[in-house]
Amino acid sequence: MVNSMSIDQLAGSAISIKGLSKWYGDFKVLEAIDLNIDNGEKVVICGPSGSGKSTLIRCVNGLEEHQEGQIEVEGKVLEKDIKSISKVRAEVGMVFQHFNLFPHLSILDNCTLAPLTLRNVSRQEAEETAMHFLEKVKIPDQAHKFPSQLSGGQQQRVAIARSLCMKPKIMLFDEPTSALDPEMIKEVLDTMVELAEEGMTMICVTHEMGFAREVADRVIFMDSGKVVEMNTPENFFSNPEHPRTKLFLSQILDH
Amino acid sequence: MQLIIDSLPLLFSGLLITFKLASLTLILTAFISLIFGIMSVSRYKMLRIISIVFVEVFRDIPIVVNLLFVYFGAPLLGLALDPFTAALVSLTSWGSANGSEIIRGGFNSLAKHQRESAMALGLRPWETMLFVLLPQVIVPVLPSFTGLFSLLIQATSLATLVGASEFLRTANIIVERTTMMTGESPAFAVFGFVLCVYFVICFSLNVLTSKLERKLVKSRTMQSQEEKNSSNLLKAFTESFSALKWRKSHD
Repeated sequence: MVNSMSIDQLAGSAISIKGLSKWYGDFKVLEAIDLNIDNGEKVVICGPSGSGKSTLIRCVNGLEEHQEGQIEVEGKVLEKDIKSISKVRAEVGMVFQHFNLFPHLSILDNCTLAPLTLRNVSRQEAEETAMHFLEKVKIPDQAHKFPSQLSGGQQQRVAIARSLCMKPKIMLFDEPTSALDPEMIKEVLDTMVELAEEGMTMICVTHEMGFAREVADRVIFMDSGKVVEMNTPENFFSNPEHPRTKLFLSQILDH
Repeated sequence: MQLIIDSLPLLFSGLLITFKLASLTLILTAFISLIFGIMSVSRYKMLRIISIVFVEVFRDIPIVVNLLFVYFGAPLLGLALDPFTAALVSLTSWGSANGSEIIRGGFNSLAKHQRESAMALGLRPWETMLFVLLPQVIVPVLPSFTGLFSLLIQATSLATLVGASEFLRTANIIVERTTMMTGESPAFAVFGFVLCVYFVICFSLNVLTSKLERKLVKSRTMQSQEEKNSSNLLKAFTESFSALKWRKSHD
């Protein structure tokens, strides 16, 4: 906590969302969301399926277009043109539920593709960076294998390493453990905890409440496109304000 | 038999033109299919519409009709095409329409998240296409393309209708000339020979590409395993959550 406090004081907000609304046709997925996330802050978003939590973080790197409101990432307003979106995306790493590694490329090539294409680095540099992050997620020995030769947990850790190779300032996690077998969840969460301890700004959509308790500075509960409750993890779990949150927690903590 | 051997030079010159027509058609078809196939999955509506119109127009017209239309219609537009060019144009347009449909299918069968995760890394659309999507589409569409290429080679024989002196036409000339001169029709022998040649060409093309395919698939068997894997995961996931709601939050 002390560590993240000092980083907070050094810099302003990493992400600032004002009055964000989004519709799919007539269906309102996000309704007037306001959210500020400071540099180095870790925020966990939870909520029932269809509450708009994934959509929210997908708006942050422009994978989804929003109709109303404004999103600022690292002080830059997210515009609609593809050039500025691509620039924002290069600063914001994203890890998906289904790992989404590129099956035709080796693990190493998965990690070097984006830096080689977008950053002005030599192949050697890119590979060194890739190996550095693969070591960090503890799978350097798999570098020359193909994604399908790895377990789900390993693939997800590669996906994290692949994002880190772009040296992002912010990491978004969209249910990173939901598609994993139970025994693989821990290795991915461990990697995420480590990343959090290093001061990375993180937004995680997850139902791993243990992770939220351990890592989050704030926990957000969303339902039907709205932020229902935003609280510190201590208050969120022991003393939730909103009855809807209580209901959700009782359902999710039962099993 | 003697007749065929005697007319081999003539047949050979026809075969040469068939080869020329076929290879030009295949190269152009591959190229144009790729362009229209990529256009069909473009972000820009205009490009998608152009591609759809092109595909539908040329796919829904029989090649023969197309060929006759190009050959006899082009002069009305001030473009007098020789038989060879007319055949090339009509075969290529028909082939490209079908080819781009094959490529579009290839793109559609790719998981949507491949494009998304490439974009999330900051790759621009054309980089996503070139480095992530296209390499994954090429191998799966190979069998369909072999089929199309085989059809196109066979369809080059239609060029005889507008008088391109390709293989079938030279055979026809030989049959007619011999019938007139000797009063005996060698049609069975000559056309039998033609049949065998076409068979050998297309059959070897098929064998060749299926070998190439096996080679490529071998280096990618891991991929199909992964697909199976992820679909199992998806099933397990949707069973534990509500499938409908999950889609809603992701689409």
